[in-house]
Amino acid sequence: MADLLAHVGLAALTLLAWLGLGSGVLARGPRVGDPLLDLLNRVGVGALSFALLTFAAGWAGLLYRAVYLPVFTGAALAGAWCCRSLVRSVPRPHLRDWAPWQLALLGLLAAYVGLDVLAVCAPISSPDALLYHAADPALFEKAHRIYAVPWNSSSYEPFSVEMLVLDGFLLWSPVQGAFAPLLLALVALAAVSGFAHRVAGRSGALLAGAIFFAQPFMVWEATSVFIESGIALAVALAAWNLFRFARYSERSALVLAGLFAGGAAGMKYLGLIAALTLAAVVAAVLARRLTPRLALAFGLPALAVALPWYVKNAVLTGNPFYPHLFGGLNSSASSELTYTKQSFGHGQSVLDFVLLPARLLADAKPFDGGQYLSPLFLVFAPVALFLRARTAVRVAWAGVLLYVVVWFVTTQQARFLVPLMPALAVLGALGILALAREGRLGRLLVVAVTAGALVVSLGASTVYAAQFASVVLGNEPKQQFLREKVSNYEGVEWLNRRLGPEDRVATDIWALFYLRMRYATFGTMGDLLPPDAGPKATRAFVAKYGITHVAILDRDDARRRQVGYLHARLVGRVSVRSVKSRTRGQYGRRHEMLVYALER
Amino acid sequence: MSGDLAPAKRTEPEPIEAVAPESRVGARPRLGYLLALVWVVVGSVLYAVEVARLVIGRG
Repeated sequence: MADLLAHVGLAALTLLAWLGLGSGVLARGPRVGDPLLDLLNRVGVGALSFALLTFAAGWAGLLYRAVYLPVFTGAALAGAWCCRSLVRSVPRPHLRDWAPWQLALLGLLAAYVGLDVLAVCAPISSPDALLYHAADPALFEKAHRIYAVPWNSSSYEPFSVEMLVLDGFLLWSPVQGAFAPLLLALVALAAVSGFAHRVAGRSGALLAGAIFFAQPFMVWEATSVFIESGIALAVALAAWNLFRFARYSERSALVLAGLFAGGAAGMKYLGLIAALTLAAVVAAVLARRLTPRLALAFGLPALAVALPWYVKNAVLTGNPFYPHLFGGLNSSASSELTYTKQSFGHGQSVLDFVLLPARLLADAKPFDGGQYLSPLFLVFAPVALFLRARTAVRVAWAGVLLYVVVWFVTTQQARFLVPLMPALAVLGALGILALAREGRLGRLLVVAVTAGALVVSLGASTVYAAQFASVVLGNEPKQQFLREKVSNYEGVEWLNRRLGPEDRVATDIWALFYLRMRYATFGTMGDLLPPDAGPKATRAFVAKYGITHVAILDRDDARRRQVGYLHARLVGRVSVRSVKSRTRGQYGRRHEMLVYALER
Repeated sequence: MSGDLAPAKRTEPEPIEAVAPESRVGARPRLGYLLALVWVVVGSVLYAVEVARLVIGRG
């Protein structure tokens, strides 16, 4: 419990540090007239600045706690100074004036923050985080520098959020790093609610916040060291700034919109799609008013913020868009990614596109966790369009549809819809309010459907978060928790006991984050050593990466054949199992992890 | 900064009607209302199928 409070305290300081650094960066830069948006802009710019500073420090070999902590402390003090004046100027809400349903929604959001904090304080156990979102920052922290991780093509994605995760590692621990995506989600919640407040008042703010945040999908997303909450924040702030520009002709808001669009593009290639969608929306909003000067006001900041990541990839692989477009370093990475992408969803035909809304509501599991999405986005966001939508609603929907088309033809993972959620949440809130205003039947329907969906979502979210309670509250040992939640963890424990710092294991398991010795994989995404590689390539791989041991699952016939090409001695058989569902406690059949020592 | 990109004046946020009130509308919005009601009912039924799938453990 003490740890939990300490993590929350440091997370609050992290927000202050983002605010402090962002206020410094924007002190003489573009500002907007809306005080809340201005505050969130400064927090967002601060987060982006920390990410880029960490990126630069990583390439300069300066990833030391002694370097990071003074910067963090100074920024947090500056943030606290900014807060002093804010606390005085912000009016206190009069909760007595709120309707009961508004208080209920506020309570619901508070409950979700509690569930999220509980889930994020558990030891990291999400497979993607163990493979790279947390595993790569851990490698960088250990080496005090950033370097290419060739066995994992995902490490060539723009990595801004992972830099913030790395900051948390430097601040205290991996769990503190895992707080970064949650903090980004919370700031995104503030942006969604704040913008909805501006267009639809308190009711709109609470409804949009609940649609965005009060769903099991967001609990999973924000607490599993994923990065999409960061893109959602960047898109939300870009869209709100764009709105300010369109409505009040604040050109500084256009600059900030560009800056956050670039921020999204610097978080993942997915963010680049979001940024290009935003650029298309900018062009649509400006239409005939579009001048080169305005285009540059949006484009230049976007380019400046995103560029470091693309230059890095161009230098490392010869292709700024590796591994998604134009080939490069490892051709099998590209083909494996294409294969993986096509495994999600129900298909890519025109009929599949027409059926997409129905499938996202009724049969969303093939979209990789889509069954945990809130239905309120899809049920109510179109309603805003049906009921005499103003231009802003139509433009927002056009942007949403453009992004959905690209998502549909590339990779149909529900997580990759998160960048749309801020816009859809506001549209959903507008739809709810508009329908409730149209007549008694509409009002009854709105209340029943919204309340029902929120109750179901809260139930599912509670079940999900409850699995972390015992380890966070100290009633379950960490190792026991990890054996239950992390695939093949018994194998990791065995390797940690038997292998030392001089050893380097090549493996095909995903739980890399918990390996204490040096490691390489055969290529968990984009094979470094293709399964059909012969003796020469296998020996070259072993020599290139200085492999001393191989740890593979007994069912992996291709790797076992390749081990046969080496002078290898079987030194261990460890019974392991994969975790099919952490929440439901479902496991795969037991296998053996075979460990070989290679003769040098 | 100067000119276009100078810090903006503080402007009080004002509420905006993103969707027009029904009192001002005629036949087309009634169609929109009907469409909205149908979509909300259909969407809710579809989601109920997903919830049922989850509860019985097939989701």
